[in-house]
Amino acid sequence: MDNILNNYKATRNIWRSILYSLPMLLITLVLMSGGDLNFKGHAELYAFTITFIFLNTCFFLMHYKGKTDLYRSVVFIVFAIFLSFSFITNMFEYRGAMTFNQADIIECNVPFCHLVIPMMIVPAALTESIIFPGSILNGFANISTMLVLWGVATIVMGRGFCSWGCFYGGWDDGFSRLIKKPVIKRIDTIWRWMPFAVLFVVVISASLTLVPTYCDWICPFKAVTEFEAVTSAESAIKAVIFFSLFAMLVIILPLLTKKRTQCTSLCPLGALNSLSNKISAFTVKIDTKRCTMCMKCVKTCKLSALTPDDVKAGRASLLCSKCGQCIDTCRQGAIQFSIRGFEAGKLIDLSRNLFIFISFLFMAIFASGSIQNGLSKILTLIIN
Amino acid sequence: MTESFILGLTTGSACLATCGMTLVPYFVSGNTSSKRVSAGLSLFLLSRLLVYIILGAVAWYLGQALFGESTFRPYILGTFYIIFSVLLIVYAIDKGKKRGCPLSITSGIEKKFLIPVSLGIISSLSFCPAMLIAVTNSASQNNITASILVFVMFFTGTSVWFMPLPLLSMIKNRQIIKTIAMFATAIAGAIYLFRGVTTIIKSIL
Ligand code: SF4
Ligand code: SF4
Repeated sequence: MDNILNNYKATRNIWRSILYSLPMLLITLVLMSGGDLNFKGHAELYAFTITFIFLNTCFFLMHYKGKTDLYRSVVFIVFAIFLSFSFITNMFEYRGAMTFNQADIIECNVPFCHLVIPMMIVPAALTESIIFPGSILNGFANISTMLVLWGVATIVMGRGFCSWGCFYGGWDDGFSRLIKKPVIKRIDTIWRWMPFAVLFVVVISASLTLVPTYCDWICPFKAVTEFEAVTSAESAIKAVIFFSLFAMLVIILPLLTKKRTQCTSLCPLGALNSLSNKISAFTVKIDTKRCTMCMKCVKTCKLSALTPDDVKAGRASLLCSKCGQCIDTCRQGAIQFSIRGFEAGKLIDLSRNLFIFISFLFMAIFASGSIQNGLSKILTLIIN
Repeated sequence: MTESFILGLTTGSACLATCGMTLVPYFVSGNTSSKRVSAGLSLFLLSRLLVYIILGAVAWYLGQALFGESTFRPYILGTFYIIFSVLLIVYAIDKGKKRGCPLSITSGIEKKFLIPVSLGIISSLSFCPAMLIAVTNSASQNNITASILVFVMFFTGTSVWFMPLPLLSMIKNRQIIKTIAMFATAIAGAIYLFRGVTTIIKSIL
């Protein structure tokens, strides 16, 4: 019954799907190669080819099969795994360890991470300084490039960044898909507001102490990127916090609940991105005339962004990350990506095609480098 | 000092969530002029500040009397932080308990100018867990000025929330804001719990 009743047409037409996918094919080719198809070795060539085919096949299938979330999540999860892999291996190459020390901080050798953005805004406005020990213009993850990419992605997609652009979201997204039925079924929706409290506390503390407190003390993804070398009781406690939060919120709870618990109950950037949903160009709407109130979408949403009240109101809440899972699930074809300003039921095909093109492009920009880099390292090991 | 400000700022939101709607009718009742609203708010905040300065001095004396230069000082302080921060977390997340605002007892007061003064005094003497943490922080200081400053910073942090009080009734989604405020309070509790544990661990090592 795949999408038979769906509102937009899954093309099921190979030629039309290819036609829709051609622009992505060309853009990713230019983007990934940087206009230069001379590779340093076989490993680089194979890594480029595999990544290119992988990304474009997923995009093609989104059109051909009419499913958004399924193929989005495949890329998103692969991206998160490869990002951590290439990040850690880069750290070993540059510094010989996954940890950083005071010298790296003083020399601004810490690659920039988008999760620090909420904590940077107020200090940057007040003191005209960036409270992160990274490079503003140089290096493989410099601050200005990341800020521009995040800014544009957020204006266009709103919280869509959390399902199409985030470096780490694929971890809890992945674990939340590993078992078929949730062990813990009822989760109080009150937890959805926790990230706003975290955002509030970390913005205040970072503004007053000029230290990115979330990164320094809380971030679970330190466990799969880099963290301060354990040299004191304080740094040992920090390491315990990072690893236990990662185990709890990124592995165990997503497995038990089938929800992205880290994103739903902790991430301050998720809260900030949610606020941008108020102005972003795309939204998720529900055609209440088609809806039968079965509430399958409410159950399926991994970010608890839909409640029965939202369904009745005909739109996803502020917390929606535009992952498309509810759209894929709805048998009535009542849910759709929509361009802001248009009613539910209008411009369905155009809205979806535009949204997935732009969002996938962002994902390809963010993901292709890490996947290529990681693959190239693995292939070098195999070939040599 | 920054810490006390942060404590005030994060937990003040919860004070406002609990007592805000009790205070609003006084500040915006009927056709109260903006002059009267500002005068009332100033009296309210001044009386809070006065009580906090007194509390800072009392906390300093208590600190000297309880542990002074004792070698057990970090253990006692750490234990207080742990107890009060756990209380703060419980206070924040205990949704089942209907927390009445203590300010309602001022309803019998007749004299108009006394109302904001008594509201200020009672709201600052609530001895909620956040205030007990501020007392502990203040008692741990080396001199009376620093102890008072801890409370002045705590006052400043909480006062940020009382400034827009007259506008509170206009805010939509109050329940969501209340929830976020409660979570922020719980996070502040977690931070102090951590502080208590590290104070003890550091003195053992
Ligand atoms: S899954 Fe579709 S039909 Fe069911 S409640 Fe959600 S929008 Fe309505
Ligand atoms: S409401 Fe739908 S599109 Fe939005 S996060 Fe939930 S499942 Fe994804």
